Amino acid sequence: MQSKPLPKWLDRLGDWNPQLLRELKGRMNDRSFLVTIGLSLIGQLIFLMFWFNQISNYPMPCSATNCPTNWESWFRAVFQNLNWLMPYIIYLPGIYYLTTDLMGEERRGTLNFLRLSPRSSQNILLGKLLGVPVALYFAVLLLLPLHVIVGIKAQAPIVFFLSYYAILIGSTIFLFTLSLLIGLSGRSSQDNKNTGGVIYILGLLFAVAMGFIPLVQNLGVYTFWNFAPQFIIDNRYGNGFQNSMTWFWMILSQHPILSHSLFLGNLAIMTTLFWQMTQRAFQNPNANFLVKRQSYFLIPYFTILMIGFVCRVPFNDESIQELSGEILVIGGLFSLSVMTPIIMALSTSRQTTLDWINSRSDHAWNDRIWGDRSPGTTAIAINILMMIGILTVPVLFNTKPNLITPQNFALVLLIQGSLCMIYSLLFQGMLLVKSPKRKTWANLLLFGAIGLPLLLSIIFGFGTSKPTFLLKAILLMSPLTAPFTLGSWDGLPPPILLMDACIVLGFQAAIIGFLYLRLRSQLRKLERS
Amino acid sequence: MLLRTVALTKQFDRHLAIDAVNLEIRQGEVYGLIGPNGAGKTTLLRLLALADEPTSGSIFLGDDRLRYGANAPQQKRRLGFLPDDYPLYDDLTVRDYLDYVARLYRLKNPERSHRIQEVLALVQLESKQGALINTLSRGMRQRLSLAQSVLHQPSLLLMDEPVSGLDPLARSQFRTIVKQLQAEGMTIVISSHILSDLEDFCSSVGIMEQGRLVESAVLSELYDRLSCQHLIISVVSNVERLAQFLGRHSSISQIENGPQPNTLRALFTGTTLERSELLRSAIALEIPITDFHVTQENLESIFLKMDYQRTA
Repeated sequence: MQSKPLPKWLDRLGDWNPQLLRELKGRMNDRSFLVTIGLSLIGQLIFLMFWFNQISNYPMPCSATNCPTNWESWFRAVFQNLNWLMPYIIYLPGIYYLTTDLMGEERRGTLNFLRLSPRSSQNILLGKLLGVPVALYFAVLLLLPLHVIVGIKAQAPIVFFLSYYAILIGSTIFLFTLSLLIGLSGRSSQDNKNTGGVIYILGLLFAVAMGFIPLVQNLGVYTFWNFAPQFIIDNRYGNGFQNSMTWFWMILSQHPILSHSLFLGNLAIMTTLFWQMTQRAFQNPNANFLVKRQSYFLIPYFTILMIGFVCRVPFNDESIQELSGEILVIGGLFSLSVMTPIIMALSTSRQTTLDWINSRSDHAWNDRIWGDRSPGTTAIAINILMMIGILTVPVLFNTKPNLITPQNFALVLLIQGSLCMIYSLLFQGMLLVKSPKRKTWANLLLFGAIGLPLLLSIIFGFGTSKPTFLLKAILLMSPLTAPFTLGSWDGLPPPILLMDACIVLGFQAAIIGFLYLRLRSQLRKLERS
Repeated sequence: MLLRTVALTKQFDRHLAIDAVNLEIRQGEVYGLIGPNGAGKTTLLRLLALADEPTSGSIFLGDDRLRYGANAPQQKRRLGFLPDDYPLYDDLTVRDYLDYVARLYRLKNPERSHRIQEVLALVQLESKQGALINTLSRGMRQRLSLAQSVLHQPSLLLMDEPVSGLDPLARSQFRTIVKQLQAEGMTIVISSHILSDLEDFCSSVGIMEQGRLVESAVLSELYDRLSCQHLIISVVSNVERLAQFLGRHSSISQIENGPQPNTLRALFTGTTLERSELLRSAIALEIPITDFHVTQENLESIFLKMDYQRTA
C-alpha cells in the first residue's frame, strides 16, 4: 500500500529537516491537533462572553442611571487581560509537550537512534522545537486576530505591539530551549552525571524563567513579567514597569530602547547558552552540560549584570559609599544562587574523572582550565577570582569610604570567595569517594556547609549587642551573613575587628589547604585503581 | 582493514567492561562476536557504533578515526547499527518510518523511494508497508529495524544479538537476509548467543571474556587450530590390523571401538591434507575400508572447551 504523496513544499521541508516533517506528520493528523484548535476557539468565545458580561462595569461618566458604555475603557481591560493570558497559553502547554516528548524518546531508546544519525544536533533539535508544539502554534495564531483587534480598539500604539510580540517570542524561544534541556536531562538514574546538581541548576533557572508568567499579578507581587519593557511604552496595558529600576545609574523606564535591548539581549544570551547546553546534552548525554569555557563567560556576565542593578541614581558620593555594602550583599547572594549551581554543574563524577585520568594529555594545567572531563575545582577557583575582581571594580570609585573601609571590604569579599572554594573542594571530593551514594552525600554535604552557618546565625547571630568571637566566626562562615559582620546596618552587631576577620580567613585557608591535599590524594588513588 | 581498534577500553567505575581490545576486521568480512553474558559484547558494539564513549583507546574506520559525540556526518553515514532492543516509532507506518530514516541519511527522491522498496523487499515487509509499526510481530519489528540499519548502505553493519527471542522461522529468514547482505559485500559484525547461526555465515569470529578479546581468527583457521576431529572408520574384517595402522600414525590418538562392530573411532589432530594422506595409505595397504567418516567439533564445542580451559 503506497501512502499519499506529500505536497512539494512539505517534501522539501522534510529534506531540509526530517525531524520537523516527522513531528508535523505525527501531530497534524492527530486528533489532539483538532482538539487544540477547537479549544483555542472555544476558549476565545468563553473569554469574550465573560467580558461581555462585564460591560455594565464600564460606563461613561454621566449623571443618568443608564449611562452608555465606555468602550475604550472596556477594550483596554480586555486587552490588558489578553496580554497576561497569552504567555500562559504558550508557555505552559509548550513546556509540557517538549519535556515529555524528549523524555518519551529517551525511554523508548529512539533518542539514541537520532544521535547516531548523520544529521546535526541543531537540525534535530530545531525540528523538535518547531514541530512538537505545532498545534499550540496554530492555536496561538488563531488567537492573534482577537489580540490585534482588541488592541487597536483599545488604541494601543503599534510600537506596543512590536515590543509585546518581540518579548513574547524571545521569552518563548528561551523557555522552550530550556524545556528541551530539561527533557534531555530526564534520565535521573544516569550514573555518569551529577544529576542532583543538574536538577538543582535547572530547577533554579526554571524557577527564574517561570517568573515570566505573571501568576500573582493581581496580588501585586512582582514577577519578571513586571520588568518586561513593553509597559514602558504604555503602562495602561500591564501592571507596571518598575519606574525606579536602574542599571548602571540609568533609569530604565526613561530609556525604552536601552531597556528593550537589555531585556532582549539577556534573553538572547541565556537562550544561546541553553541552546549550547542542549546540543551538548543531546550529543553526549554523559557529559556535564555546562563546560568550563561557558562558566568563564557566565560568571563575569552575571556579576556585571547584578552590579548594574545596584548602581542607582543619583550618581554621587553617598550612593557610591552605599555601593560597597550592596556589592557585598550581591557577593553573598551571588555565591549561593549562581556560584553554587555552577560548582555542582562543573564538578565531575567519579566515572568522568576516571576517564580523564586515563586519557589526560601532558598539558595538565591546560586540561584543568579548559578540559571538560577534568575536576571542576581549578575552573571554580578562576571563576571566584573573576567574581572578586569584578565586584571590586565599582568600589575603586569610592574615594571617600566611611562605613566600610577598603580593608574590611576586601576581607569580606575574600571570605565569600574562600567559602565558595571550600564548597567546591568539598563537593568534588565527595563525588570521588567509593560509596555508591556519593552523589547524595555530596549534595547533603554541600547543603549542610551552606545551611548550617546560616541556621546558627539566625538562631544566635542577630539581636546580640556584644557578639562573641565564635558568633562572629559563624557569621563569617556564610557568604550571605558575612557582610553583616561589618556592622554598617542598623540593629546589627558592632563591626568585626580586622584581626578577627583575618583569623577566620586564615582558618578557612587551612580548610582549603586540607581539602586540596585530600583531593590530590583521591586523584592519585583513582590513578592507581 | 575496514575496522581497527587500538587498546579500546571502557571502564564503568571499578568494573572494566572492555579491556584494551585490539580488533581488526577486513572489508567484506562477517565477524561473529561470541562470549558469555557480561563478557562485554554489547559494550564493544556500542562503542564501535559511537553509541557510547570509550574511556580510552581509538577506533578507525578505514583511515578515519571515529570520535564519540563528534558531528561527523560522513563517518556516521558509513555505520549501521542494530541494537538488541530495536527502538522504533510505533505511531508511524512502516513506509513512513523508512522514509523518515532515509531523509535523516539525506537520501533524496527518486533514489529514496527506490531504496525503500529495495530494503522492504530484502526484509520481506513489502506487504506491510502501510501497517502501523505497533501492529507488527517481534520478528517483523526486528526485520524493520534491520531495514532501517541498512537503508543508507553502510560500509559497516553492527548487530547486537539480532536473533535473540525470535522463533526458528524468523531466525531462518534473518539468516537468509544476512547472507544476501554478505553477498552484496557489506562488512558485518554480529554478536549472538546462538553459535550455530554464526557458524552458518561468519567468516571470522572473536571470543570475548571479561572484557578481553581472547581469540580472534578466521573461522577455518580456528577450526584447524582448536577443533578436534574424530575419524570413524569401518572395515569388512580384521579391525586389529586397522588399529595397528592407525596407532602408527602421528596425528592419531585415543583409538577406541566405534558404535558398530568392526568400527574404530580415533581422535585426529592433523590437517585436511594429512587426513587425505591417511586414507590413501590405508587403501594402499589393502585395508578393506567400507566407511570413512569425519566428525568435527562445532563452534559451540570450541567455545565451551575454551571456557573450560580458562576456568581450569
